[in-house]
Amino acid sequence: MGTVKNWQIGREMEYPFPESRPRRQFAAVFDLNKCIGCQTCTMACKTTWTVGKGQEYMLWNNVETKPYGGYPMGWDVTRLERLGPQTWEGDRYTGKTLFEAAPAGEPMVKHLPEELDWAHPNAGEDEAAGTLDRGAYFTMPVHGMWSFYLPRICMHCTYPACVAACPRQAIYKRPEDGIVLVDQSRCRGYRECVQACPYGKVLYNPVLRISQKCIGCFPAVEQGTQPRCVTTCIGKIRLMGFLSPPDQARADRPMDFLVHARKVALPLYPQFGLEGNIYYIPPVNVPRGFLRQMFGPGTDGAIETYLRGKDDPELLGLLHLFGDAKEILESFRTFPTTGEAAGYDGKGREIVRVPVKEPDYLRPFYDAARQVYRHNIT
Amino acid sequence: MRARRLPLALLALIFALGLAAAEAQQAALQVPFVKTAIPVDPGWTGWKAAPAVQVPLMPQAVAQPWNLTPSIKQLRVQAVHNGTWIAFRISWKDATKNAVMYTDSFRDAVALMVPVGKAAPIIMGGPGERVLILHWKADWQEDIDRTFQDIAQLYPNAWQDWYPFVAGEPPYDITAWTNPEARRYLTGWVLGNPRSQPDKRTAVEEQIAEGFSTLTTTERQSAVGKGVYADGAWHVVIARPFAAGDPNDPAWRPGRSAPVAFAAWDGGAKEIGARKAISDWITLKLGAVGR
Ligand code: SF4
Ligand code: SF4
Repeated sequence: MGTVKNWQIGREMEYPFPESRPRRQFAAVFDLNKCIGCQTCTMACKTTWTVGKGQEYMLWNNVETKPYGGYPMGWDVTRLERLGPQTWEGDRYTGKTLFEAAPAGEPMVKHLPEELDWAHPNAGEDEAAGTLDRGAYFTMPVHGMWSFYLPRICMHCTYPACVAACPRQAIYKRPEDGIVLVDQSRCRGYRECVQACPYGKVLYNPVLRISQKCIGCFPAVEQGTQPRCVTTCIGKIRLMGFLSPPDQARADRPMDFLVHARKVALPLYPQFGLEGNIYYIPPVNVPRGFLRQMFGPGTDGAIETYLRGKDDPELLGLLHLFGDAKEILESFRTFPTTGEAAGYDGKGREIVRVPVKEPDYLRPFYDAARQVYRHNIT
Repeated sequence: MRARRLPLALLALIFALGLAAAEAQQAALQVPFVKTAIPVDPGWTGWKAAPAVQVPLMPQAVAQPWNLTPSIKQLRVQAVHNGTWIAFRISWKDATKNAVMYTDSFRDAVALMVPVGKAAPIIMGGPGERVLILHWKADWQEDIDRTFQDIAQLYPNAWQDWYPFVAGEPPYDITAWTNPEARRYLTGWVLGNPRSQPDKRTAVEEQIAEGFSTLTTTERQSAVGKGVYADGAWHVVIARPFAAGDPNDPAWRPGRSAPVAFAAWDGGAKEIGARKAISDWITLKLGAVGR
């Protein structure tokens, strides 16, 4: 048992292995305000990685509708219930992580989903949190009725529960990029990892009788390309990159900027203690209590920063680089005079440049040349 | 650090209890010499004459995850040898046969462990103190007795229109996945993971270990076995040549004594891996080769 620093909970915590951060950490930011629930990411992942025998039910990337959806069903509420009410004091988590709440003889709190829990990836889809009272209508900024899409992949955690749980040490975190992999020749299908991962992101292949999980599209990442679920995203809600620990953050690196500098992208259930590396920009129209439970004490600040984004050229510029390049952006810059944002590779070469604001064109209501009225003035 | 001290204290307690129980119930196991070939069959009539011992099992509470309330309390063990082969017959009561694994279910299994050298720690050996482990698994037995548990067997009502790079018709039996592009998706099979092989030769996996988390399948597989479930009990035969020309051959030979230990898993109680019941070492008294 080691004591490790988990910056997401603002303190040290117990973990079965000593702290050993990778040279670079795979990370991504998903902007939940923009996800349209189209499942293009899910299908991109599915057709790339899980079309084999025993993978029929497997979705390494899934998109569920909150508050009711979940794949596997109840992955989140089972853990929240096991932990019970816990506390934060400011940015410091004073409750118990899943490791610290472990029963005797177990490295952490575990839960084995039942077979049918995997059978309803779309349960709760598009369902709002409740029914509308007669006469109610949307009031901004927080809707009386709400729901939102939550796209999820493996978090490639800094302190992975799957690694901690495997009695065979068949799961490892790569020092070169922090991607977490199950060694397919060493795994024996014990499913300790399936029970351990609170995000439900290790899945058992009943034909090959071993466990499998999201591989962070490592063959693409090794070539400097962002994963399939990122590059195919219709809503351009995703950006993948490498994240530094807070004390080494550099504001010109996209992940560091969003997570550490602006703190607009937040971890998912930081109280679990895994220091996951998929970060979310919280949806602005959802009640704060729900969001604070999911994303921790940074929620209010993140939403305020996001809503002020139109006055923050750097943030606005970077948000416009989401989904605009296949390559991994190592750094970015904004150009206030031209109103552009650009992304660069590791050698400082420009990969992509986009206008942050489209130019305005004003056209007359009646187009005499074509003898038509314009209904759309953009 | 607190979490570390507890298992050691508990371990001492369990071992004290376990040893006391072992002394009370176990004589050494006499392993008579037989002149014939030994069929790999728990129903072989030769077993009737073989002496038996009851081997008590205790919780595995050294390596996480522990199994403080194991389901299987004792094994009935017999053994014979014919000078070349040694065979064990292990029986235990189990109310349910668990031989098929879905995402949330586990299979029954039993294993025996022998030091490769003179002796080894009971905790699956230790660094430089290697043990040989022969592990019988009910799901492998099912693969052999019936057919490999493919999707069509696991989920008879499932339908999959298409798998990329696979020719043929639904249900696209796994043995028809010959295209190398398709085979990439069968990771465990392609990488030689014994669990994932559709063409299993026997239900026993031969392995070595030098402590917990070091279990490794041996290059050469010399053990064979067969399990039969009948009347609420498993009866499993595990056999191996004394010497297979393998560096991992144990030091057991006719006319000598050798230690052996056992472990058992009840799939119905979700026991697998470290979640097992284990015995202490017991002594095999191997009869001399006669005529
Ligand atoms: S999300 Fe789950 S599977 Fe992925 S690294 Fe973390 S614990 Fe492991
Ligand atoms: S492709 Fe993008 S917009 Fe569509 S569901 Fe996935 S994350 Fe959401």
